Amino acid sequence: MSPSGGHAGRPAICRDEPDVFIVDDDVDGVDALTYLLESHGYHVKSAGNGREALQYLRGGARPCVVILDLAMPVMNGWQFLAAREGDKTLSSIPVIVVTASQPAPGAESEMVMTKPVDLDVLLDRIRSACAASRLLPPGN
Amino acid sequence: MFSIPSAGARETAGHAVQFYEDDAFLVTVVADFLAEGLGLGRSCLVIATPEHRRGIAAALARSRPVDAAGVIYCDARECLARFMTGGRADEARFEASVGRMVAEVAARRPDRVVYAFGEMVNVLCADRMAGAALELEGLWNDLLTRLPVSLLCAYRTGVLASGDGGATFDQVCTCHRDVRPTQRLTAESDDASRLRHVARLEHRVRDFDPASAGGREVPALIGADVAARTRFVSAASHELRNPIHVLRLQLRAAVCSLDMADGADLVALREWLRRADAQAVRLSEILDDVLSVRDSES
Repeated sequence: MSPSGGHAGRPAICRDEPDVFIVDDDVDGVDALTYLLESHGYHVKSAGNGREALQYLRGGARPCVVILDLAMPVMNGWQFLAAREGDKTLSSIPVIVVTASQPAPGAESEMVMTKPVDLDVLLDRIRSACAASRLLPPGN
Repeated sequence: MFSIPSAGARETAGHAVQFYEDDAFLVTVVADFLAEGLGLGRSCLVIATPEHRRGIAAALARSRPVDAAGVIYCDARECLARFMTGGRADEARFEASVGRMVAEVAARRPDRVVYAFGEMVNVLCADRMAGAALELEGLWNDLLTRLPVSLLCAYRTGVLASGDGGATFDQVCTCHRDVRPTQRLTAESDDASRLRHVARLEHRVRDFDPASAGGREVPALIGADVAARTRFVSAASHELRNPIHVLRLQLRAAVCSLDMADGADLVALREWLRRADAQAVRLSEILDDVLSVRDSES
């Protein structure tokens, strides 16, 4: 597997269902995370901003979890979250926010992680999200 | 004449803000506030971070002879995502989400005040969106004109911008009927002790606050310099986090390429090390930029 293997073809509009959908404009970061996740057996797709991500998800893709950066061009993470919240078909997809902004102590939740992330913790949360997603009946 | 408004005596609708330095202190204040509401048979709503929700629930369960099952808990960031658009608090979305939720809670016990605690504003300020926090305070105040709610907000000390001469802090205070200081003041045993504490603070602030320094130049410059350095460190921290994050991922990928099930992938290893080296160069360039800004300001 080449380092860029899972990330080729950006913007990532795919035909098959991913486990993890990364929304981030930093190509190097996306490539590395994709490689790591694929080496752990996950099927990964990515988009470079919120708008591409919405287009992809509204095309019917249902990943187990979205890994979302906040600072992005075109449509940032906050705007993506707002659009997702207003869309019933998308709001059930869990999102893990990965941001360089330092939240106040106590503000960081299990679904918000500050860069640089602890990869093992991120893997745990992805594993939990995917396990929960697979328990849901088809159509959810 | 000086008694600090407590979490109690809030049966009437209103809007209070609690500043805090310590999470345990905030959790206790909020638990007291909710316990009073529950004791009066009122509906209670908490919009908070997971850590604070857990702390509040534990404090209520631990020491309050009330039925804490009546408290409705919501996640602050999830609520924010329902009405924040483009970094702004959208009024229509706020009404359709938070406004509707509060109205539903209020409808459970008509003519009775809902006890609500919210810290979405603190989350926004922590994300350096103080303007949006002030917008949100305004939306809450509009809501409180229509619904019987006793709302307690909270801000961690230092989360508000310090480089604007206290303007944001003043605006936050203006949005609230009651302003409660941190535990440093409320911990004082009586009003005389509190007055001494206030006098001591005034004495200290006078040497650092340009607004109270009577035009003296040196303290004003010190105040401005401290604020500028705070902003600078914050921005530099933000800029450095991204490349460090990527560098760590690339190094983990390099290690991973050695542990492939079908043997080490040396081609991938070489490529990840090349990319990690390029990332280290990028990091070094950012550091040079940071140092050049520091040198130009010194």
